[in-house]
Amino acid sequence: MTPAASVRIVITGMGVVAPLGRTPEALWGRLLRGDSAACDWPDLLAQGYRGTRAARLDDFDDQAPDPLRRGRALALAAAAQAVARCGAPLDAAAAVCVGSTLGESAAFEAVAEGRATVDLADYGVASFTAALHARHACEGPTQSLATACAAGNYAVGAAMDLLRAGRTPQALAGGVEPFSRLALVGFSRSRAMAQRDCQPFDARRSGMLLGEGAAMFVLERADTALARGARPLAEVVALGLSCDAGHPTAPLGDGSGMRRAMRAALDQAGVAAADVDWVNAHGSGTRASDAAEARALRDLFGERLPAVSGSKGALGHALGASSALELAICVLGLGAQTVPPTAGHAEVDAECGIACTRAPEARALTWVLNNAFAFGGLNSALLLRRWEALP
Amino acid sequence: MTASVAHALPAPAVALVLPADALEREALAGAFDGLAALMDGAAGPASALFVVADNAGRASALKFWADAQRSGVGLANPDLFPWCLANSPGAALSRRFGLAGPNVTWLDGPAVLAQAWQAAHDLLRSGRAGRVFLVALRLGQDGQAGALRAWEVPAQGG
Repeated sequence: MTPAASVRIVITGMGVVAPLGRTPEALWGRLLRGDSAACDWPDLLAQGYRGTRAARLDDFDDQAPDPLRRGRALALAAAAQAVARCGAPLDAAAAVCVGSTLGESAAFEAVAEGRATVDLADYGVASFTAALHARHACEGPTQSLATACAAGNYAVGAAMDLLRAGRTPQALAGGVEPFSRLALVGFSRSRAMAQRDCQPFDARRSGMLLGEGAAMFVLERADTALARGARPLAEVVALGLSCDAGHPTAPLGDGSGMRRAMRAALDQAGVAAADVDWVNAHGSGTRASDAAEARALRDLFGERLPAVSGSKGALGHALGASSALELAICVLGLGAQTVPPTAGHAEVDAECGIACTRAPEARALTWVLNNAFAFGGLNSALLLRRWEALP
Repeated sequence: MTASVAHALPAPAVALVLPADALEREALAGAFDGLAALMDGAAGPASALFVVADNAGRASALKFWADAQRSGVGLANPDLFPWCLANSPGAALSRRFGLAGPNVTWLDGPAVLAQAWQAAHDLLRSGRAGRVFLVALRLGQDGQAGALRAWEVPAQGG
C-alpha cells in the first residue's frame, strides 16, 4: 500500500433513489426479498418502442416537474439523503464528484426532435455537479466524469484521490442517470437488450434491461470523521482501472481487461484475492459481458471464488448510476453482514460457471469488490472494507 | 467548473484543429495521424489516457436521435450509438494506440484541465500508471471549428 493509500477514507453518508426504493433501507428490504423493479411500460408501448420492459421510478415525477431536468432532480434527492445522514452539513470546502454517461438524455432527445431549443451545454454531466455544488454551498473542486456504465465507481474513486491528496476535507460523490429513450433504442439496436428479464450469469440470459436512479455518498478521511463524531459506514480502499483498448462495445472475450482492473484494486491495497469475501458483479445479463466477467473472476480467484451477486436483475442497468447504486448495496451488505440475492439468476450457465446468490446469505464480510464495466472497454473495480477501527 | 489549482499547463505536444460540425467518429479519425507522434509506441497496460471534453457525444447523440425519429426507432443506426456516449473519443484513442491503462473522461469545460493534470501526477506517483496522456477536446459545432490539444504528463513537476 502506498503512503497516500494508507490514509483511510470512509463513507459517512449515503442516499439512494432507485426503482426498488427511495431510501437505502427501502432498497435493501426489497432486494432481500428478491424483488425486481422490471415491468412493462404502457407509455413506451404507445410510443412504438420495441422493448417496453424497464426498471423505472414510477413515483418520482412530483420531484422532477421539468422532464428535461430529471437527472438533476435525482441527484439532488439522493444527495439530500446522504448529507442528512452524515451527521453534519457538508464542509464549505467539500468537493463534488459526479458520474453519468452524457447528461440529461431527455434534453438531447428534445433538441434533436426540435421540441426544445435549450443550450445543451447546460444539460451535460456538469449540470448535475453544478446543481449539487450550489445546493450544498460547496466551494471545493468539482469533477464531472463521463465514463458510461462505470461512472459511479470513477466518481467515488476521484473523491477518494482528492481526499487522500489533501485537496478537500470532504466529498459528495456518486452517480446519476435519468431514464434515457436514446439509450433504450441504442442498446436495443446493439442487440444488448433482454427478450424478457435481466438474468445475470444465468444459462438463459438474453441481455440487459434499462434502469434509472441515483446514489450519492459523503466521503471523508476516517480520522476527521471520527473526530467530529461521525459513524463510518464502510471504508473505500482502492479503485482499479483498466481499458480493453479493443472493441467499441464488446469486452475482451478472455476477460483479461476486467481481471486487470480487479487485480489493480487488490494490488493497490495489498490485499490477496483469497481475502475477498464478496464480489458485486457488473452482471449486465448480456451473453458476452457476463461470459467475460465470469472468465475474469475464475482466472483471478481460481477455486476460491467468493460470494458473487448481481443487482441488475432487480434494478435494471442504470448506466452511469449503476455502479453507485451497487456501491450502496455493497455498503448495506457490509453493514448487515449479508450478501443479497441475485434477482433473475436461477440456472448456472455451464460456460460461466458462476453460481450467484439466490437468497440472502449471512456471512462474515470484510472485503468487497464492486465491479463496473462500460462500452469502450472501460473496466473498474472498487474495493471496500467493512469499517473497523484499527489499532 | 471549480478547480482547486490554478497553474498554467505547458504548451501541448500536439495541437490540432478539428472540422466544424463533424461527428465524433470522423473528427477523431482525422486526428489519429497528428497524435501518432505522441502516442505511437505507448501501447500497453501501463499507459493511461485522460480526456477532458467539452461536448463529446453531443453531435452523435443529436444525429442518432434525429435519424431515429425520421426512420423509426427500429431502424436507428447501431454503429452510431456507441459514439453517443461521452467516453467514446477516449475509447477510440485507446483502441488506435493500444492504451490499456486507466481511461478517464471528464465532460466539462477546459478549467478542469488543471485538475486532470494533477490527477495524472497522482496516478504516476502512486505507480498506477507508467505514462499518462492528457487530451483536451472540443468537437466543432454550430459552424465553429473544434480543437484538440494533447500532452504527455511528465512524472515530475506536479
